[in-house]
Amino acid sequence: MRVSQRIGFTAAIAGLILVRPAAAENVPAAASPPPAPATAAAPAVAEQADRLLRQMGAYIGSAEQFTFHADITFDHVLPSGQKLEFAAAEDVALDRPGRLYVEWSGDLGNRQFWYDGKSVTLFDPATPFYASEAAPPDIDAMLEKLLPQLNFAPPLADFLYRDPYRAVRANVQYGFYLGLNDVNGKSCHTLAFVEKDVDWQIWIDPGPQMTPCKLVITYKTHPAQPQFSAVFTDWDFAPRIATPVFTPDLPPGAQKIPFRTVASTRK
Amino acid sequence: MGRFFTDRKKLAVALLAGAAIVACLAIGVERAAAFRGGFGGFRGGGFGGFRGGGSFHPGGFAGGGSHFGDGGSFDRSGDAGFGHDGFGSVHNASDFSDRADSFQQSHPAAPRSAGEFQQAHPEARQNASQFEQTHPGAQRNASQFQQAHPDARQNASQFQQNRTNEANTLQQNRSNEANTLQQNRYNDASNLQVNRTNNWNNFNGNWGGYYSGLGLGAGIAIGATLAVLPAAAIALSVSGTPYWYENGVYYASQSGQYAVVPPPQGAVVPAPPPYCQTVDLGEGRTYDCGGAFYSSVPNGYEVIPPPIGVAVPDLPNGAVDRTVSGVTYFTYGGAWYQPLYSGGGVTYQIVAKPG
Repeated sequence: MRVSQRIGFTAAIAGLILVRPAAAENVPAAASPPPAPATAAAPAVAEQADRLLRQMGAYIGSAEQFTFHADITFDHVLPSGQKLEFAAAEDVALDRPGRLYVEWSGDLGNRQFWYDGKSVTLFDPATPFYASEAAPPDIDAMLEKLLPQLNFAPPLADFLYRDPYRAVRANVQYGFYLGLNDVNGKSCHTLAFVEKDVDWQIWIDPGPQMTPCKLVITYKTHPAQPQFSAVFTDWDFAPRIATPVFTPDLPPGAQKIPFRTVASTRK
Repeated sequence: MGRFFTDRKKLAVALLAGAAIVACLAIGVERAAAFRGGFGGFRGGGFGGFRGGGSFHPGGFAGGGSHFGDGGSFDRSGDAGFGHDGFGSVHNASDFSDRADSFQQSHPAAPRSAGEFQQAHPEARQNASQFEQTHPGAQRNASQFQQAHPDARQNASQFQQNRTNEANTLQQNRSNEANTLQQNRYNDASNLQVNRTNNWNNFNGNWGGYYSGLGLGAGIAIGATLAVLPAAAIALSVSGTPYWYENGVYYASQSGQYAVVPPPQGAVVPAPPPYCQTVDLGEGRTYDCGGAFYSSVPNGYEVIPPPIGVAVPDLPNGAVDRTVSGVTYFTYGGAWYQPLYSGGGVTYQIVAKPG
């Protein structure tokens, strides 16, 4: 937890106010609005929300293997500001400590991502090109250290860590519990969280398998506030994953090109 | 069946209400008011608590239209939505923070956090619970409506019939249009293919300069000769050589006729070709017009050499792949494009000629 967040956390407990220190300094004392009515101190993240999130994280984080499917919608914003929604499907196969396969099939393109404990490989089947890079031996290190350098991460990577709770909880400023709500006919615990840059909601299966039912992220820093939504299905914690799944399966003649981050300059 | 569905809905509403009460009990009075506002909103159709009259979209955020698309971070034409900029990830969402900061700088009035918002709008939570109090009848009204309008269902089935008929007609129309479009596209494609083949036959290996795919788009291939210039063609002089320009196509005098030529570097035209995309080089505006690059200058648009460093999500039509020292490139119009995986997708960066 960063220092500023810790201070924010403390401030929230003290007065039910979430103000970053920098923001507080900018407000002259005389011009400050009257303090919020004194109420019983409430944590910035409701205990129930925090507990459910932790339980979900512990459940999927402790699994040595799993597969799941997610049906995704995401917004694409036109330069005019108009939001368009597109869909994708993501399939994930994970085998700790060091094997992962992610397949993304979407309206705007497909991707395949392989990690075998030695290297990561990314392939866009619409092109003859793939890129490959040496990788650390376990999934957490690969996600944490390598992928930021390569400037991408498989969507829903949050749920692939050993400790998904830590991954998603780190930047939360405020969180609360919304009760049991429907996700495609299943009743799931609904939690909502506020961060500086995103708001997100997660629906968690009440059990016995405390898996995510659904995730929605709103990107607040973009004026159009685009959203990403994923509905999870087919969680399988005793999957029979054939080993070749984690080995890049590239078409004959595929050419290796570098990972290199460039800003696309065309608008 | 319909009735059964209705009953189920009522039951679901009742359960929801129950859940709301349980939730409220569980989290205490202070929060309960806010939450009930949210549930009340759903039942009453007013979304009272959470939206509070657009309160989550204060002026600063909603008014950012002119800043829209500055970073292109959500213009996902090139990356399929796959994992760039922390997309689809809570943990990596801070990747957005750079843009957030710059947005914040240009919109100092935008609340920085939920807390500030709450401070600035202490009435928001109150409004939510007030909505509950002032609209206790929201749910009851719905069932009263059912009783008062027994004809609603009948009308609905009539609408359904009408819709079915309309849908069939529309489907037929669409089918016809699609066939026509398909035929047109096929014709266009055949013409383009023929033109390209001619180009290669006539000019293979002889293109030192730039040419524009627009010559093809306009239905006139580079190398084609015309006895008479188009009426709208304007005269240009580039380094003392006369050219004529019209709608993206350049002509030069050749044996008493006018030949279509690649856009000559240094030519300044009053209007760019019709099919250009803006590229941002940080200084002035640059346009990629089918692989020919133009820069905005005071008296119009100047044909410039392909700018090294520019990355584009797709190649110009007709780019040819070349492998140099084991590295894959594409060439087109004198520019060398290198394919790269950037931000989870393939992009093409213009690089200096390798070797």
